[in-house]
Amino acid sequence: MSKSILSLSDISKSYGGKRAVSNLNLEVPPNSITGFLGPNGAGKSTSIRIGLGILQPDAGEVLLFGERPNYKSLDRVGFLPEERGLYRKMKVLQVIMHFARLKGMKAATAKKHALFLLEKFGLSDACNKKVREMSKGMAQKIQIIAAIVHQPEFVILDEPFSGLDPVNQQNLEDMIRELAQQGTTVLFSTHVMEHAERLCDRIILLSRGRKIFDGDVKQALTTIPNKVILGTDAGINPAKILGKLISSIQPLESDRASVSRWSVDLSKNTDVQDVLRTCVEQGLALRSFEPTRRHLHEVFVNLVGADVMSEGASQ
Amino acid sequence: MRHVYLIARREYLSYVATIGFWVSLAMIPVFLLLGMMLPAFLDRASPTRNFVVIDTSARFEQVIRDVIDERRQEQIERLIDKLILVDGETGPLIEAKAALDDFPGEEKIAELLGSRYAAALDGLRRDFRMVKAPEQTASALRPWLLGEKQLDTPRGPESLHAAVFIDIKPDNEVEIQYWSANINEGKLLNMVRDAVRNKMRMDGFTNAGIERSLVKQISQLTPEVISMSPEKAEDDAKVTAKDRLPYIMAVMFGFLLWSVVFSVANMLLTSVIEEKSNKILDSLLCAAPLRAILMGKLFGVAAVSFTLIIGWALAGWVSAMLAGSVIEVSEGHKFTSLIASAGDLKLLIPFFAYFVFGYLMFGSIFLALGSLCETLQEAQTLMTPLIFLLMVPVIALMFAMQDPESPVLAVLSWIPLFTPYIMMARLPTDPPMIEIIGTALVMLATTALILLAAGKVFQAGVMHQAGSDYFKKMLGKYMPGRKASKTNPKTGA
Repeated sequence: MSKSILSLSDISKSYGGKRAVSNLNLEVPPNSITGFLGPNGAGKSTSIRIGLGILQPDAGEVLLFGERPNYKSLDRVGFLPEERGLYRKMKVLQVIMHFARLKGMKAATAKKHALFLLEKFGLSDACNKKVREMSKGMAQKIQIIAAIVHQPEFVILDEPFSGLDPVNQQNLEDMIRELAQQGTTVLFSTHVMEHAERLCDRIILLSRGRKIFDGDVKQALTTIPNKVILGTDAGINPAKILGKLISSIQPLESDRASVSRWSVDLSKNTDVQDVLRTCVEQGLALRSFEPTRRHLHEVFVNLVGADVMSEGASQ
Repeated sequence: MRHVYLIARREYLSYVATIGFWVSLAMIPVFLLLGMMLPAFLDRASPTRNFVVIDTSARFEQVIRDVIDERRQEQIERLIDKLILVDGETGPLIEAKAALDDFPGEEKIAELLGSRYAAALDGLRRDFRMVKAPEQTASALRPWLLGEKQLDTPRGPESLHAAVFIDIKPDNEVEIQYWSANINEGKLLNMVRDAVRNKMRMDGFTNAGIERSLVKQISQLTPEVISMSPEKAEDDAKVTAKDRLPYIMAVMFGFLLWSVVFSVANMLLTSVIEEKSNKILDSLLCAAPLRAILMGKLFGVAAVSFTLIIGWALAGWVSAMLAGSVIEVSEGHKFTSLIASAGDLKLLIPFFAYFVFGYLMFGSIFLALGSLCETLQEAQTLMTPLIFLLMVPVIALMFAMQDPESPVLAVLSWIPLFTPYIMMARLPTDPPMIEIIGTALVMLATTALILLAAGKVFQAGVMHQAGSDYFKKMLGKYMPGRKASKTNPKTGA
């Protein structure tokens, strides 16, 4: 029996001959924040819908809390769908309570929790207003509240940051951290790598319905080479000195005639310190040494780009 | 059950907790009442129409005048009857009614009625008034008929509605020329033609040597028609209004059933389209099973329709009680007792049973179609064939008003989509038990099949984002020779 909150094993799903998800294996461990990343059409939403039992896979097995998704296990899940919407004619408090009660919460408790969360999100004044009177950002916050009001053990947020202004994005990040601190397992999909980098214990990267990476952020960053910007005396190329430590070197424009600047991609598993040490040992006249930080964004572009290229090559 | 209850509750409150619902609840009986009263209102709103008669023979002018007076006499009699209903048989009203037999003229009647009823008599507008012709030929009267000139009357200038020219041809044929700018109004022409024809016949009899009084006496002969029913006891076999009421009520129940089913099925359609276009369904699907969503919606809107029916029934009952205390429909039968027979369980129980099946069939079809559409415009395209289908019971019910025992209705009863409405109208005719049970069983089986199919379509629409071309794709998939449409790779629909 799986100890994961959500486990997808060899899941495949096709739509009219086109594979949306292909042999996907995915585990969401308890008490984690997992980022579900991938370009548009990678199969993230389809996988989430399969994980919740909304869609039936063509092949494979889904286990939610160790059993096939059912309405007992789904009561323990909070879900913010990608395509968001609320009953526009209902009052804010009523709509949140409605979803809480559908998830098995008693009316009085649902009201108490809804009021607490509305206050927390700065929406206390809105509780008796109709949803249609809310701005897009406020409606999104209301939907997030509706997804977590019943205090689920597992929260799935499909593109939760889209449509939110930077302040509310930060608030949502804080909320996700707070949920995790309280023991809630979070899985969220996003295009914005900065959120994933700041929040996730683990990331799963999907491309063309296939998983192309599964690991923590640190591991993800190792998939792309380290990079440094070197400044040397004019005309001196450090490539020879650095040898196998680097994978590529490109000259950069310099604002001083006496200095040459170089963008250097290090070889796999080469540390920036090794490069500095070699430069010093070999007596290279360094004018500047600027290690650049790697970002998940580059990992994303690198891995997805490589996957798309391989598709092109195979065709 | 929790999911079904909560979804039904939300659905119910989303309609019932709005002012619009209660306004429409009140407005429908008001509109029905207005619809019934509209002809009378329109009639009252029409002005008195002046006409002239140019009778070269001088034979017919008086009979036309007499017909106009008789018409006026009947109008006054109806007014006095209404006043008696309100005030009871007071002295002036009884005296005036008795005087009407010999019609002493309007002034005398006004005098008998006294000042209390003078305003009522003044407000009683004449349909037509025969006035003195300003000119004697059609060409000379044209400016008046076209409204270019006005008649000079004691009431001030008034327009001329029509001119009637009566001429006797050399072969003794009578010709009526009716001149009027209003070519659609035929009441006056018919009145004039009847009056002239009666006079011609009367003169014909007199010329043949038959006494005028005898002809008048003979022409007034009319049989007394008494409808009898073999189903009643021999000594009380006379058919009364109370006997006819179940037939009338059954057809009315049929119409009520149709209008309730049609209006609430539309509610289901708009509700599911709203949820689909507002993208609420994904959240719902994560919170409740698909079947619970379907059933919750059906039950919620069914509760709305029960509220409508109960509201209208209460309004009808209160109005009937108020009206029943004054209206005597037929000998020995107060209106109240007639209305009470509409509450007969023999009609009420089938009404609710047929409502349940009619609602489930059409409601689930509307719900399924709604799940395939993002907008009402899209839905309209899918709904058109269904609307045509829904019109059949309405036409059949109109037919049932004339002949509820028609074999056409018996055949249509076996079509399950029509069974609830047509069988409802046929029930008082005591159709054979085999038909009642047989049609009910076919309807039951069809309802189950429709619910199953609707569930499948709803699933495709809600979970797989299938669109309004769903049926086209299904045809392509299952019918040989038809090419299946391409599937949307994003949605799978």
